[in-house]
Amino acid sequence: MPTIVALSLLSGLMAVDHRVGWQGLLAQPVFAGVFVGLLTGEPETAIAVGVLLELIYLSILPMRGARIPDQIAGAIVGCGTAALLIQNPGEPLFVFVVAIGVFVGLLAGELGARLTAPLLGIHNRILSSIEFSPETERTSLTRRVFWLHTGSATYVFAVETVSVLILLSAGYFAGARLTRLTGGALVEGAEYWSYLVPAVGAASLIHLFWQHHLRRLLIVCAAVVFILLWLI
Amino acid sequence: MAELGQEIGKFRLFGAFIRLLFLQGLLNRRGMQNLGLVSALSPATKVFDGFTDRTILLKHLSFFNCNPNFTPLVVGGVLKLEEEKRAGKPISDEDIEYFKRALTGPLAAMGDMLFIGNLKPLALTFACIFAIYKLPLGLLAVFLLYNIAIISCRLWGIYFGYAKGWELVDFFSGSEFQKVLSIVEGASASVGGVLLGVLFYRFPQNGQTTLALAGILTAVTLYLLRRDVPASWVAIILFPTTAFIALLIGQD
Repeated sequence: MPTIVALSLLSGLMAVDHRVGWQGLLAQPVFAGVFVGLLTGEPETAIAVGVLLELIYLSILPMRGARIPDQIAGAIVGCGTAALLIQNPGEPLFVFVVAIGVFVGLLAGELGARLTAPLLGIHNRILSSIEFSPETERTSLTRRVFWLHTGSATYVFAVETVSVLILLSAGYFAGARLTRLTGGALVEGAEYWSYLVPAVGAASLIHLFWQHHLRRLLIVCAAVVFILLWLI
Repeated sequence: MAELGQEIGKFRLFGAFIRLLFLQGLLNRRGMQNLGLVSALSPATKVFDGFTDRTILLKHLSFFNCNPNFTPLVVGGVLKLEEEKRAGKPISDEDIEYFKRALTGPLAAMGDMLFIGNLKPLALTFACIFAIYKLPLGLLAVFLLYNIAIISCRLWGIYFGYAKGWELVDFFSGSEFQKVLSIVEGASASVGGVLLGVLFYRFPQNGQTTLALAGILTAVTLYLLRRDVPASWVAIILFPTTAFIALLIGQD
């Protein structure tokens, strides 16, 4: 439980960086995986989940009002669930745990976006309704903006922390049940899914750079690296 | 009380830069970044409005939306014009508003293309390669370099915008930005290609069938992405499908 609370607080900090600060990649799954790994003592598992989630999320750009999953919730819940599951007694299989982590993370990303959207909508409405009359004193105006800023950061932190606390608790519980209940065939299925899921990432990459003047560069570089690695 | 027409100075510009780092915190549907803009302008404008006048802040509460990494350029330029206006140059409030409107649209588009469309994917692609090959120092380097790039761009922006004022419009009308964008686009696509090569090289390690299936899945996902189906949904739906197929094969 203390680890789950610590991870939820970490997600709050990431949300402040992502929604209030300068978006310094702290909230990206691949880096979130590193922080979750350091916090739980399972960097290999957490980073493996983080990379797979990052590959899947690569094609989703926060532009033109696109509805995007809550990547912070996805990353923390996915990496956290896998890191906590691998610590369970009974030597769970690494690839299976990673697969469960990625799947739970993807679901948490979708659910997290739906959970936080109305709460962040309230925040947005409050900020939109603020009026400053021409009689407002300068000091009172700047002070009000300062407190709005501080309140805004605190609210964003609290919303993400609570949301991830709920999702991570649920995700870990579901993940633990899944690892206990499933038979050999389903374990194989989940493992095979984790081998195939980078293909979704590959498609995301192609989709991202499939512009007329970049297409050739992308294909040539991919072919050269593939051949070089094959030869080595 | 400060004298009217006094220069803003580097220290106050730095104060505006610090506040601009948290610009997105006050994002709202009605005025977008207007409250963040006022927050950033408040320390710098104190110097020429006699610490009591709020009109300069109130007039900047109108709609404002730009790429956060290029907003410091606009803020620097606005501060320069406000300073010149106070110094007696023939600049009206309408001119300043026109300057803001003329710059924010193009800078928002340029910033989105450069940072969200290319620089961020470039950094993340590098990070994925380093993470796949378990190189923590590489990950740390990407994290630091990206943050240094973003923060120094914002710091440069506020001083450059302040130094140029009206000339900013001419500066961004030239072909310089397009050259920078082409370089970053080329780098992003190349590193994207490297990651693609790495991914496809690793598929056969789980059997040749996996390589073939991965190729088919890539093509199908690409088709779905073109039809605005999110990649996350493709991966989610694939999970029970794979488990079901494995269960069927297991029963045989």
